[in-house]
Formats: sequence, structure tokens, C-alpha cells
Amino acid sequence: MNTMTIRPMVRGGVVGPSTVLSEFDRLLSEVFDASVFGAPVFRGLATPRRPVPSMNLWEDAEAIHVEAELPGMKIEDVDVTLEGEELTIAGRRTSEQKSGEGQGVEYLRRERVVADFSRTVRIAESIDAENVRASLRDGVLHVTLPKSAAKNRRRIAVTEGGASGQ
Amino acid sequence: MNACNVNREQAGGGAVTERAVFAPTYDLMRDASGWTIVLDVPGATRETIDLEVTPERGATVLTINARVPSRGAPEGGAMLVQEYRVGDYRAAFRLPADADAERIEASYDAGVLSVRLPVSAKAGPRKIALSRD
Repeated sequence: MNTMTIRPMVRGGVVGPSTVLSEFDRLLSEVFDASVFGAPVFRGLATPRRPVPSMNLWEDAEAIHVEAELPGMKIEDVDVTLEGEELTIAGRRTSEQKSGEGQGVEYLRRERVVADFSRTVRIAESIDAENVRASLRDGVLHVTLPKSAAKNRRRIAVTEGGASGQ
Repeated sequence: MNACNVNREQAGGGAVTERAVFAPTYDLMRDASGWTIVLDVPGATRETIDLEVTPERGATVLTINARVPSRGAPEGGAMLVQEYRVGDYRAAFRLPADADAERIEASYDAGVLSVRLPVSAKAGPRKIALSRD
């Protein structure tokens, strides 16, 4: 896994011509700390630093579901592979990141993660690999891994009497 | 695979009573003509994002709300690993005095909200003429 977090570049007192900017940054922090809405919203639940991408896994009778938040990622930037029992989600951050700097754009705060990433999870369940599906919508990747047990499950009719009763 | 606590409230699908609200991670950039705020709001949809500009204690505050439709384990499903919770997003920015709140523009794509905040055309020192009486 490759995780990189870039700390805010301008924070607090800044020497040089950026006083107006750091002032803005300070004002922002004030709003976040001192609350427009009342405290708990910004104190308790500020988005924590987490592995990238964060994943949720759940299962139902038919499938294992893997979900990852990948804001800003396009389909062509994401690779999903299932190899044996290992599911890997990998991605590249491309165009968006190159836009700003060097053209008179200054970062006052940088929290969003801009690195390539790759995460692998082991799926401890036998999967019907032919029918794995993945979709990416509104920055959320959803991988559905159908259980092969569900595919092979067959309902056995129970008949009256006994096999020995022939 | 890491084991994680399952949040029953969230895992319950439709039975969620109280939604978590998160402050989204964001980048803030400045250039000659204004500011750009880029916020990660994965799971939000274009229809459920609200931006509002309101006066607040002598300043102008931009408030961003993004409602995120529920997703995750349905009724009868079991959470196996939970590294994040699904919730709404809320952020508030007190705007600098020379920002032009009338001309804020916002766009949304793939879970990322971009807000453009131009510098007011009439920003900068303004000479006040003394009136004769």
C-alpha cells in the first residue's frame, strides 16, 4: 500500500507576502473550530486519516461486497483484479493533480490524498470468479463477488417415505 | 483481513435513525483571480449537494451540505470489515472580505465538489472623496 498525505502548506504565521492568504486560512480554521453549527459536527467526526482507499466489506447470502471510496477517480484510472482469493484495488491519480502548481496557484491547504494506491484483501470464501462485477459511481467503487457456494447450492426435494422402502 | 466493529445503526440499511455528518477533506488554492476549494464528497449526488451563502457575524459564510444516500449491508447482510462510515458532509467557510460571493460557481464530478470563488472586482483600496458641505 502506498499512502501519502501532504500537510497544509500554509498554516498559521507565514513570513512573506502571503499574509492575506494565511489570514484567510486562519479565518477558515475559526469557522471549523468555533462552529457555525454547534460543536460536535466538526470536532468529533472530522474525517480521520485512514488507509487509502478505505474499504468496507459485507456479505449477504449471495455475495461478498467490497466498497471503497475513490473520489475523483475515473474508470480508466482504477484496476480491480481477483487473483486466487486476493482482490486488489489499484488506482492512479492523474490529470487533476497536475493542474494547479507552477501557474501562479498556491495551495493554502492540502488534505486530499494525491498518491497512487493499491490495496489487497483476501476473500476467505470461494468466489464465482466469472461473475465478479465492479462499478464506480459518484466516487464510490463497489465490487460484487458472488459466492460459488450460492451458485452450486441446489435445493434437494424431500420425499415421503424412505429410500430403503423400495 | 482486519476485523472491525460493526455499527449496527449503519448496517441496518433502511433502519438508520441518525446519520453521521463528516467534515470533508479538502484542498484550498489561491491564484490571482480567486480561490478554489476542492472537497471530497464520495457518495454524494449532484441533486443532494447544497451551497448556501449567508451573513454571519459581520462576515459572509459559505455553507456546503451534501446528503449521501444510504448504502452498505442490507437487511440480513453482515458487515465484515468497516473502515469508514457512510454519512453526510458539511463544511463551512468564512469568506475573505475581497471575495465576490455573488459569483461563486460550483461543479461536481465523481465524488468531488469544486467551488470557485472569484476575487471581487471592486476589491482593493478605494478612494473616498470628501464631500463639500
